[in-house]
Amino acid sequence: MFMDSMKYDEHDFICRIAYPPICYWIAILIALLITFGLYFLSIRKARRITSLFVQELDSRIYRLFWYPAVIFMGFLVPQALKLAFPTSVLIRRVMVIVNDSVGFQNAVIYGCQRKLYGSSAEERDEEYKRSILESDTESTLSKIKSIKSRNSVKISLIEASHI
Amino acid sequence: MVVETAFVLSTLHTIVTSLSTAGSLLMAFFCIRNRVYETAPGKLILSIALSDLLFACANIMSLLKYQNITIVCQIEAFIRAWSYMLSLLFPACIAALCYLTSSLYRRFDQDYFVKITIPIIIAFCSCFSIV
Repeated sequence: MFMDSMKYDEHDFICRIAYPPICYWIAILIALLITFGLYFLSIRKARRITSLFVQELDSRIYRLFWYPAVIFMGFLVPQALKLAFPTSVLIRRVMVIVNDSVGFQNAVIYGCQRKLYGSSAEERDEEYKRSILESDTESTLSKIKSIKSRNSVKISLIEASHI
Repeated sequence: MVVETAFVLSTLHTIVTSLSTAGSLLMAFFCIRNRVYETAPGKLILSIALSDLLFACANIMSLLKYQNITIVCQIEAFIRAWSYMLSLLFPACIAALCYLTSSLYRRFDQDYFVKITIPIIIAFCSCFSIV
C-alpha cells in the first residue's frame, strides 16, 4: 500500500509517501499527545520537588522544559503552516529549514549539553569509586571485627588455661 | 521566478541537511565517547541521534537527484517516513521515562523499560513504513 504511494515530490525535490494512510497520522498524533501530556505531568511533578533536592540534582530536571521544543518546532509548526498557507513560497522555505533541521535541533537540545554528558560519565565514575571505597571499608571493618572476636576467644581460652 | 525559487529551496535544503548531518553525527559521537549510552535515557538519546542521522541520509539521497530510478526513490521515501516516525516516538519514550521515573522513583526499572520499548518502537515504525 505504502510502496505504491512513494513518489517524487516535485515541489520539495524529495521522495516521499504521497498519500500516507490515516494510521500513519494517527500514530504521529498519538506520539505527540503522549510526549506533550507526559512532559506536562513530569514537569508538574518536578515543580513540586523541594529546592534542596533540585540543588542536589544541579537543576538538571528543569532542562525537561526544552525537550518538547524540537517536536513543537520540527513537527507541529511546519504542519500548521502547511495547512494555513499551502501555496506560499516563503512558508515553503521556512518549512524546509524547520523540517529538515530536526537533527540539528535535536543536537542543540539533547546533544550540546556538555554538563549532561560530563556529569553522567563523571557521576558514574564517582559512584563506582564510592562503592569500591564503601565495600572496602565494610570488608575491612568486618575483617577487624572477626579478628577481634577470634582474639577475644583466644584470650579467654588462654585465661581459662591459666586458671 | 520558478527557477529562482527552486535554486533557493535546493540551496536551503543543502545547508540545512549538512547542518543536520553534522549535528546528529556530533550527538552520536559525544554519546559514544562519554559513555552516555550506558544509562537508560542515554540509550534513547543515542537512538534519537541515529534516527536523525537516517533522516539526514534521506535528505542527502534527495540531493543526489536520481529520482527517476523508482526503487531508489522508494527506499528514500521509506527511510524518510521511518526516521520521521522514529524521531517523533523516541522523545515520546523519553517523556514516558521521565514521567514514570518521577512518579515511581526507585520502583521503576529504567533499563527494562528501555530494553522493551526500543525494539517495539522500531518494529512499529517499520510496519507503518512498509505495509
